[in-house]
Amino acid sequence: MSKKGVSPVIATVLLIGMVIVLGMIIFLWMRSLAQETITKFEGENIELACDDVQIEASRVGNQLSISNIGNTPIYDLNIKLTNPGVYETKKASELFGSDWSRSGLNSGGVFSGEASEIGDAEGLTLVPILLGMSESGSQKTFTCNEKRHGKEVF
Amino acid sequence: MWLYHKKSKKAVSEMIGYVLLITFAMIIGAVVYTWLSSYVPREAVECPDGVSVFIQDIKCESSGTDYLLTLNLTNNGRFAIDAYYLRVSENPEITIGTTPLTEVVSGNVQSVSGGIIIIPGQLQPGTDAETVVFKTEKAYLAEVTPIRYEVIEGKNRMAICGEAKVKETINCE
Repeated sequence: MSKKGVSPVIATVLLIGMVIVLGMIIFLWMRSLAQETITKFEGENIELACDDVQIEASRVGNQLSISNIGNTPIYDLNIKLTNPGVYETKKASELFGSDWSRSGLNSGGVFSGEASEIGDAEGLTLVPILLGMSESGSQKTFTCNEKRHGKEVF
Repeated sequence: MWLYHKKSKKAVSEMIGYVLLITFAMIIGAVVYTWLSSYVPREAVECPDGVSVFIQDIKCESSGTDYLLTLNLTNNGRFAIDAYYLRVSENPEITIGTTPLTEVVSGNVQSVSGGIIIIPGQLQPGTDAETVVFKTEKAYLAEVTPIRYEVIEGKNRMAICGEAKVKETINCE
């Protein structure tokens, strides 16, 4: 009745090895599914940096003035232009062209620019766009959540 | 004996079961750690609560083609202030300061690039700053934002105290 089989020690080692390999495959697969983490300020997730953004804004006719009174530099802004029943979103760099600095609005900086779309819109919402570093080492932008970090301008 | 054999079921050895469970737990822990580690907040550049300035006196007077803005600041907070931004609005309808004043006519301050006005030796809590006079165009609003230099991880970093910003409407005559 003796049956040939794998020694228990070898079986255990093989099982552990297979589990580790399977675990690595699952880990790498899950990482590829998850959104690439963008960081700012020495490894901090950029979503946390959005909480520290502080801006003030004022609108008169076609002129929009924005002041960065926080300590987080703002790379760009999504400007949501709302009218009854319709809205349009444009980046500040598109709306104001060369008037908007390529480096954005540094902390303590002030910007003032004119665009006809500003005067035509009934409401404005400014959503900060920050520049961070991706895991691969390249710079990437991140748009903050509009509901949490959007600034309405009246 | 026959009943015992009928009830026995094949299964993974307990020892192997433990090894598998612990290994899975470690792998899941590594995945969660990698994902969550970026959400741990780092030491941020921020102004301490309790920083406060007060515009004791501000006036704007004509001086030929320009105007002279005289400013008296008081530190009524709990922390010293190293510098400030002074900005004015040249449009009565704009509610934020958009034009930095950098031309100092008189007063013991230093104007540096970016519109920062440095107070030599800091402005200590409970003290008044020396009167400073700036050159300006006609303005309707003046805004002072205090600045502190904070040491973060051994480096001197500029912290803008946006929460402590003060504004005052002015009437340039």
